[in-house]
Amino acid sequence: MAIISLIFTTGAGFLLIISSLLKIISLHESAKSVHKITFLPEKIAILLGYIFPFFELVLAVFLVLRVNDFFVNITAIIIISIFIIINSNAILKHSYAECFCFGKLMKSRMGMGGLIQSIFLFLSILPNIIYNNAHVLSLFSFNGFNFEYIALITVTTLWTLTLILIRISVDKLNALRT
Amino acid sequence: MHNQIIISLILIIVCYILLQCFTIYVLKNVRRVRSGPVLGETIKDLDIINVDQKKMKFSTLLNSQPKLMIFVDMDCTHCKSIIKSLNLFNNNVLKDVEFFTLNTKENLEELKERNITQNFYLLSEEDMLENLKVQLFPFYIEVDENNIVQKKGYASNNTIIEYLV
Repeated sequence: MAIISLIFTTGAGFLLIISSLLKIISLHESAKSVHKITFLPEKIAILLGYIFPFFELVLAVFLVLRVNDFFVNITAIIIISIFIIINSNAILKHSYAECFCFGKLMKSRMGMGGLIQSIFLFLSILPNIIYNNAHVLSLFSFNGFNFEYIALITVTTLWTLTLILIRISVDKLNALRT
Repeated sequence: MHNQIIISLILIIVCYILLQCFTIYVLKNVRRVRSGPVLGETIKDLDIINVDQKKMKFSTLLNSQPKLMIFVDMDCTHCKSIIKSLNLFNNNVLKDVEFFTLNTKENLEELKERNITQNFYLLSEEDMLENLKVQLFPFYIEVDENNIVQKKGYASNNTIIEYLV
């Protein structure tokens, strides 16, 4: 289980790193968009919008390095659950507001794409809490640079790409539906 | 280690298969309407003219309310039957339904002849055909309070009733 958990957790961590960096690049706009997609009062939402990308980045780096595994995983699960709630709310209310989940570069909306992506993120991290063990591996726990290690990194990157592609395809497909 | 990498790959492939199934399901059921603005986009703030030939802005008409917009051509048979059905509803019911037609002399005269004074607006040819991409009539567009296109399609007599229900 250690390797499977390593692949999915690190893949999810890479995605969160990409998403937070893209948000930090267009920090001002992404901060403003938080008000539209949450139920919070405007001032708190904007403040949160400025802090959140940095928090997400730190969390994502911890996920990849697998520092303090149990605590980091619990925090990640809580944040991803919030993503799931916000996206479900958007679907129920039919308000697919633009979210700067991936900054300006990759335009995305709240809705089904976000919900499915969040559920996959949730499922990537949940097993770490259920099968919590002391022997935690990270991509940096290996010494040799052999075929297996390259395969490991490739599969991890594939998972990150999968998470991004699922989001984009479902978003685009939903736009087609009337 | 080998086995676990293989299991991970299989799980990723399963995700792609599910995505493919979803894609096929959506593409199979999609009723593609090429005309009209793109769903989920905001409609530009166009200049419109009311029956008294007063210029106004599209946003003032919307007044931050969800609206059903029906685009008609005064000559087409389907459009005529929809316009006729206007008489069946009272003004209160129709306050969120607006009709649009091309800004031509004939259309204006036709409106005056039929004694239509409310819910009708005139649009320039450029706005109708190019900005809104409405090229077939009757056509409907539903917008929400933020001016974002929620639904669109070819209108029928039932469009208004379905919207009101």
